[in-house]
Amino acid sequence: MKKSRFFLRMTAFALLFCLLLYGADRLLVDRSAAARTESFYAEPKDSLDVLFVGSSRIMCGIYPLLLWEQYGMTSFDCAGSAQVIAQSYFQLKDALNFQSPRLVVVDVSTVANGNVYTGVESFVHTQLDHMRSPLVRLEAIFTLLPREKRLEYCLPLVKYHSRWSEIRREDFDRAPDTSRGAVVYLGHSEKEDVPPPELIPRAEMGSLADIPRTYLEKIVALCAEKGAEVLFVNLPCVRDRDFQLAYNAVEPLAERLGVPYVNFLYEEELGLDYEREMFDTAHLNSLGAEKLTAWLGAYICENYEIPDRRNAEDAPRWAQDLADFAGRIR
Amino acid sequence: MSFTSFSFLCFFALCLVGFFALPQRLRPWLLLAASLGFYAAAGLPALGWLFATAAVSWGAGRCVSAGRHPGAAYAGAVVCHLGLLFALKYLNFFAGREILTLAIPAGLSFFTFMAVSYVTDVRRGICPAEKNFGRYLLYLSFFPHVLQGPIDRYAGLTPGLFAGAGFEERRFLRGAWRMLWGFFEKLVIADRLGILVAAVWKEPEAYAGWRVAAAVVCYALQIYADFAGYMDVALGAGEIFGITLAENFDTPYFSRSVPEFWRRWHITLGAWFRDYLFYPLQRTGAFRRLGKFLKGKFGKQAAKNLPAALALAAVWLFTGLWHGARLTYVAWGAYYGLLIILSMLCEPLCARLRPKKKSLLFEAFRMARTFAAVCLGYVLFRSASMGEAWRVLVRIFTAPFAAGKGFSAAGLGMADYAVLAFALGLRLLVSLCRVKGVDLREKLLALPLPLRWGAALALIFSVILFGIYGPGYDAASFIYFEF
Repeated sequence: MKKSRFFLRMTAFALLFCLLLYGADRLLVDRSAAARTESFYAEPKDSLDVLFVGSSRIMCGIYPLLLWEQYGMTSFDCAGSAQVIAQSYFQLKDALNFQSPRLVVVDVSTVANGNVYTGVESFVHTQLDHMRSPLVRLEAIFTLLPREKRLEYCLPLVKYHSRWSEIRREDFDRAPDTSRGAVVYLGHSEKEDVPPPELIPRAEMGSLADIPRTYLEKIVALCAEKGAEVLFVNLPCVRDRDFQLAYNAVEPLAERLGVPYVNFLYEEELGLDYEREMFDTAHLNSLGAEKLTAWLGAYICENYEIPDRRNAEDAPRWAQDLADFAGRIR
Repeated sequence: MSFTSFSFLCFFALCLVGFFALPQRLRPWLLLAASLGFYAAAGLPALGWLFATAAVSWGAGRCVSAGRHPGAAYAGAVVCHLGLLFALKYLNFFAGREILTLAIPAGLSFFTFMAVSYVTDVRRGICPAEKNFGRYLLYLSFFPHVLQGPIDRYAGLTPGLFAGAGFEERRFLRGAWRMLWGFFEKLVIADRLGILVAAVWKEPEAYAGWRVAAAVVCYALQIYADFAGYMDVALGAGEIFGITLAENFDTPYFSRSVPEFWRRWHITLGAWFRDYLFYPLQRTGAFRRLGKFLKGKFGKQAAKNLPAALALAAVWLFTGLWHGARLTYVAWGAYYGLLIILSMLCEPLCARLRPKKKSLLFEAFRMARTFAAVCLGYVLFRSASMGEAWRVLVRIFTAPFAAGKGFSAAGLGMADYAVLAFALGLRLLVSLCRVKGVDLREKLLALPLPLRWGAALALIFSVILFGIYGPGYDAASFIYFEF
């Protein structure tokens, strides 16, 4: 009797401990990049028709609010900095627990990276620390990360516990992100000049590493399971021959999987002025992004059945966010 | 597997569940399996050395107890153990070049000393020889003490170790509190002070002498919190299983003399050298003859002091070497040897000079003096070379108020200093309670439940939030736009 009372008390203590631990974890986790992720979860369930997944090139190159303004499609940039294909797969898997898009646009710009996660740890934390589907998060941690790193991702407090001295009011008062995952780059980076790319012939291609190829296949299978169509894209960039060989190698894979592939390096119709419309060699600036968004929107409308939601119930919110966003880019 | 790792917490939790779920007679065997698993995490070759040490001392114990060439068996075992220790730890040092490239097994000095103490105690008839090899192996390999001690004696440890005690709430909670306090000392105090100490030691010339001296004091606090913290985790873990490990610390910085300090610091090591080196040396024929010779020539006092001084010199030379094959450790041992021999020789004079009435001020002076002497020794102990120790000492004594970096450049921020002030204050309070004979854990257990839980959670979260562990957080690396 006495023993069972003790174990009951211990269980209650353990529960209280776990509760406080969870609270401390959420309190101390770095929130500087959480606003974008949280804004995705704030979207009404099953309200987005198009999801863009991939790396920073997506965030800088595609403006979902302009797509809504011009074509009435509701979309979101579910992308992360330097995010490789395997990470994108898990980000999409998590996103599909909250949205049922008709189309998933997959950025293949990191296809030349044969790893399962980017080498920049803070970006991996940014992606995984705020992920809302616990099972997907655990699966991602145990699939992508080496054994010795898993604890700090399962319990981010292991990494962030020393942040207690840096907690500020702003940690809780951050303005919500209303740009649907997009990031605006104005002008040009002072760090590098952007010459037009020296393109290799389209038919010249290398071989894809196993990991990105497998995860592209998994993305297609996942979308098929969820009833979403897939489109592969490679956004404009200035990259050397090795990268271009990998971008071109996506072509036969896409063909085999029955997925259309738009490699913007060869899309002359877009008419991109690299010097004027790129921020740096990898990212479009707002001028380039506006141009690419318009082109891609037209392409999507032409090839997929995406409803026009400019008169939907949620339209005033999109219109308001568009007005704010337009003020930032124009 | 470090005590402060997450894997240790999981390992310990599994051990606990398994231990209390098994019938009493099987519990020691679970501890043996767990201990071997724990030790194997340090590498399988190390486990081989542990097995070999256990086999030799266990076999010698059996021979001694059965009267089969007891002298040879005993001497053979001691030579084997010390020979192995010498070969693995000191051969390259004394040879001045790399002769052996074998890795030193974790905890070698500790389990070798335990093995030697066991065969010696069997030889002296202090404890019976263990018949069961598995039980003996458990004594040597028991996971709370195998890596860093305490250097437990067979007779003292084994009654609890082999008893397979059942679950007892009070004992469990007392043990858990002690472990928790150990984590606090290690992660919050020791590892935080370690950052400052390492920064100052790296470039003592960059700091004013008084700051370097303060770093030496910090090192004194760091090493105490580190080692005593480890002991608290070890003893607390043992207590939960109903096993009483030997105490290794007794508020050593309250000592009033250096000999007293060594009776209160790393107690089991001091006791080992006393029982297995100092006294046996004094009882050897050579020492007795020397005593007789001195008594005839120089009188009783010399006959008493000189052999003792020689034995102490040997003890301190070995104590220094025991800590590692490094010249600074030898110098550190010699420094203590000198201090202790001097204090023994000067004791009659000092006793006459001491005030007759007990004076608080004088006691405080003695404590401060002892602490200063201990700190001076730490300069040698902490330094990797004599040159490094010299640089630290020169800075302290030749440029006490020179311009230099502030402590903010030593890797800790204001918040860290605030945590340190709070944690060291708490540490002092716990030490004072111990000096006054207050059993703090008993007081905590007597508190009403909400207060007890509050105190436990406050300590747990102090460790979690203020502890130095994990990969570390760098706000700059999270700056979003740095693709």
